[in-house]
Amino acid sequence: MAKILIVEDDVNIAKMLEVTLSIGGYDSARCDNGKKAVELVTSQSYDLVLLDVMLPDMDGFEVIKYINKEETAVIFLTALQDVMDKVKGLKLGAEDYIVKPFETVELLARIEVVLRRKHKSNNTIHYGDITMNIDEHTVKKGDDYVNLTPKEFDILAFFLQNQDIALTRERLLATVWGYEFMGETRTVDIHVQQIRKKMGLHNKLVTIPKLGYRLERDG
Amino acid sequence: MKLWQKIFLCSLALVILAIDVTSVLLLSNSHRLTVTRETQNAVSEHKYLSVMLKDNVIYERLKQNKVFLTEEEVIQVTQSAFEPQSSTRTIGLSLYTGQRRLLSYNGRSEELEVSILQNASQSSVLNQVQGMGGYAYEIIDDGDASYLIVISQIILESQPYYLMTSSDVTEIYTLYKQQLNYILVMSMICATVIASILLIVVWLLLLPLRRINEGTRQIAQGNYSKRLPEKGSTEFSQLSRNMNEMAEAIEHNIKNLESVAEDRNTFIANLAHEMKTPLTSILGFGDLLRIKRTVDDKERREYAGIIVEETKRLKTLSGKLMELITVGSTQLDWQTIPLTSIMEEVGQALKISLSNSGITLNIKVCQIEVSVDKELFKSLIYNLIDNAIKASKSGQEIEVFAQETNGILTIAVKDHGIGIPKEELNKIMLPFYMIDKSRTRKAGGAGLGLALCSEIARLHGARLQIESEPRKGTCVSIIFDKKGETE
Repeated sequence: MAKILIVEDDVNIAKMLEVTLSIGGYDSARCDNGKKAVELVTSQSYDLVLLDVMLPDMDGFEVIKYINKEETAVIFLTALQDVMDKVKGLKLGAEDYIVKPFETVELLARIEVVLRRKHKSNNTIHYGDITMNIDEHTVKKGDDYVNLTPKEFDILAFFLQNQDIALTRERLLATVWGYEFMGETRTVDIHVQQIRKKMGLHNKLVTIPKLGYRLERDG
Repeated sequence: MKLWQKIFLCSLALVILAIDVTSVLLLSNSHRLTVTRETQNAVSEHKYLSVMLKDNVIYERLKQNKVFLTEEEVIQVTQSAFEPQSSTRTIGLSLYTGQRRLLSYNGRSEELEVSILQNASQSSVLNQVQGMGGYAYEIIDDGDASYLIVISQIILESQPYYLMTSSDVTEIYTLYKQQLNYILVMSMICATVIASILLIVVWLLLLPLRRINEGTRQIAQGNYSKRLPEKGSTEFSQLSRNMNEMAEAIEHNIKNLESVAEDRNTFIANLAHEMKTPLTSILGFGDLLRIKRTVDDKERREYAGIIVEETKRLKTLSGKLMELITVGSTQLDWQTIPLTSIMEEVGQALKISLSNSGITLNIKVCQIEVSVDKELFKSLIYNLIDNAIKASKSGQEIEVFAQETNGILTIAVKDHGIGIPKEELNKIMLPFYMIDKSRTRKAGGAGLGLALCSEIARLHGARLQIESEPRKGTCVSIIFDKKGETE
């Protein structure tokens, strides 16, 4: 299980991040100022640091200099939408830059991507008798390979990575098709039905009225 | 064309023109004098000749004892009178009657002489003084040589004759031409020398201008701290000084603009932060409530509680922000009211808050009338006392006092609470500045209170002065620098 450090001075946001990470299945620790964050990242090992830019004592751009970027990925959380700040953050070695406010699932998706890039995330996901290898782009049900279209594969992967979380159609569209895709949410429904049929997930991949879908946790 | 080129060419042209005109005028004047002198010589010689001729004719007539001498005899007399001298004379002689040449020692063709004679006889001078020793002279250019010809009419034996003498003046004209050539050459040499001197002088004189030019270009390109050297002639140093003053003014303004822009950027960044922080919690927890599969009662209450709390924070922020924006743009409603009545109303409004926190408010205000916008001023006092309450502990006292010394009215709010660290003092009036964010937020603040207060004070022509010592307390004073000038 990936270990994530939350560096955020606002108590409520820190709490929210903690809850979000716990439903994403991550271990998290909290700290509310830069000095303590530096202490923690130098003494302990984390897979990822969610780093707020505006901190009371030293800002996130300062803290990141103490982080070993080979070992620990950094995602900046910030209220600033300035492109220059984003560039600055990424130049300092951050993996991603999330502008507040953000949706829970978006944060989880970005964390997933960053951790995968850092090879901290499992390439193979097991779910019941389904085995998905993301790098090889293959899905097995039992011992048989299942033929999925690329979009179906992406949707299934997203569900498997976000088990027990309700995913809205809009979120699925944004994640799988991209933000610029202006398609109808009906497209999502058709793909989800296909996945249900192909993977035999009629009972597990449930429809949540007026919201979207949820893949119930295995077991 | 560049300025130095213009100055150079104009001065050069003027100098050369002056030299040439002067020397040509001088030369022609002296030439004219020479010609006049030569003419006088020729004329007097001519007169001598004509007198001698007359005398010889009379002498010959008397000698031969005739009444009249014939034309041939006159010619003979003339020949005999002139011939002995002709070898030593520098002048030639011709004798005419009418337009017929009787004899000539000029060595010139008859036609030429006749045409000269015709010209001369037409000239009024010769006609007017006919028979009275009048004479005409003319300078003719015969190929390489120039001759001065003098003509007069003489009456010999009652017959009119024309006597024409000519003298060689070639030398004068040759000299004149030589001198003209000499002047031409000399003026060319002079021009070259003057040109080079002028070039150096102009270049040196315009050197400061080039320096100023270069400096100005640098300033124009954005190097506003650049200053020009204030040397060179008075005009240039004056120009430099003016340029420097201009650069200074520009630099000053640019710095002001930069600091305003920076303040605004900071304000916007802070505003974004202050707005987005509660929004992040609201969106996050709202989203969690929506997408989480199971939310137990305790969690639901907690999440909803946070959402409500953060929404309230946003509400406070937007309220204060609106206040801050409108304060700057509203027309003030000036009223003259006793300060005590304002204090009473504020005290009334804060009564509950005071009794809840167990703090006593001690108002010691002198009897004075102030000219203020009542609502805004109340809000100012309210905010200051509210800050003092937040900084104080139960059982402590807050003092409010007002006094007027030398026409300067000071209203002060003093508490004995936690105080403000020295290094924070100059920043606390900035919008969104909070010394302890979590504490401020727990107390429901947005970090805009003091910014609002100082804005209200500014509108009233007053300023805020804050004195504080950590753990001893803070005293915020509203100082009206000159009472009466507030309107």
